[in-house]
Amino acid sequence: MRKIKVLSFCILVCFFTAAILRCYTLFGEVDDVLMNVQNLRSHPSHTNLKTECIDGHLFIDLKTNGLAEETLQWNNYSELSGDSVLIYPTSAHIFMPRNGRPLTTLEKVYEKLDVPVLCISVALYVFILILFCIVIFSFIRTKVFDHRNVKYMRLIGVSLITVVVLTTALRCLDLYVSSQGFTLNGFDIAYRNVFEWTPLISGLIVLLMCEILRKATDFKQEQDLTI
Amino acid sequence: MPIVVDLEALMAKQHISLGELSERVSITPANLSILKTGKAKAVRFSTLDAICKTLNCQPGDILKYVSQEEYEKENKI
Repeated sequence: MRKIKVLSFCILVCFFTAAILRCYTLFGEVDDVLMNVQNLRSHPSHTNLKTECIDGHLFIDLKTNGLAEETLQWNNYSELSGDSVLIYPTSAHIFMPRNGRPLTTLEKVYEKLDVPVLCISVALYVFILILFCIVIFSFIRTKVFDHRNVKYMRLIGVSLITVVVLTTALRCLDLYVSSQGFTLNGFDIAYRNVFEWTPLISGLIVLLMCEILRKATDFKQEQDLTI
Repeated sequence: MPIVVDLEALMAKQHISLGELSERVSITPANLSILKTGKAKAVRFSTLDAICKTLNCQPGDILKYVSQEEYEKENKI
């Protein structure tokens, strides 16, 4: 029962943390900015440029510092004015092409980790899918209270949490590397959206269900051996 | 397990086989075998009642308590 208590508490903490962060993202202070930063090797780290508008336009003072191209690409409605960018409605893309310049140490580290971590994540997702199918087919054949199902569900939960840890670490590194390409006066790069709450909460819920199923399986076994 | 089920002696005394006993008691032979070999986790009073009626005995004739050391010693022998 102790594991069930601990898992339930963790789920509550994660759920409310995610909800509060989401509310903060939507309604938080105007000088928090979440940039859509795109590295040409990978997809954007996160979205939602939240801002204060001046006459319906967003004005940010953004300077590249040698790692990114001097010219910035923007969405259809943005304008470039010297070093600053005038954007509307809500997002800007900053591209950082390599163009033969030498990689920084962090970029080298990221390059080495990028593909292996993504491969491991994909492999884990495939593994989770296979286990999930096995468990569901087992339920369909009415073999619900089986210790193998408990084992598979535990593996699913642990795999989901592992995927979250790996992808979050990679995304943090990606965002940090990308953010080295420019400075943004008056704004900070926020890392809170790199964390994926959904797979984490899903993994914890699966682990909780696994514990409950384990108890139920033990009860059934005892029931079966009651003559 | 400290509670030992001693059905064999009683069955031998009454010259009754496992299959015949299971029929009279309305339990499957598999379940009766589980009970006889000591793998059962619990026994219902209704089952105990049926066995005692069939074998004409008391529950204490079937169920015996042994200490853990004695049980392990008997099992090793």
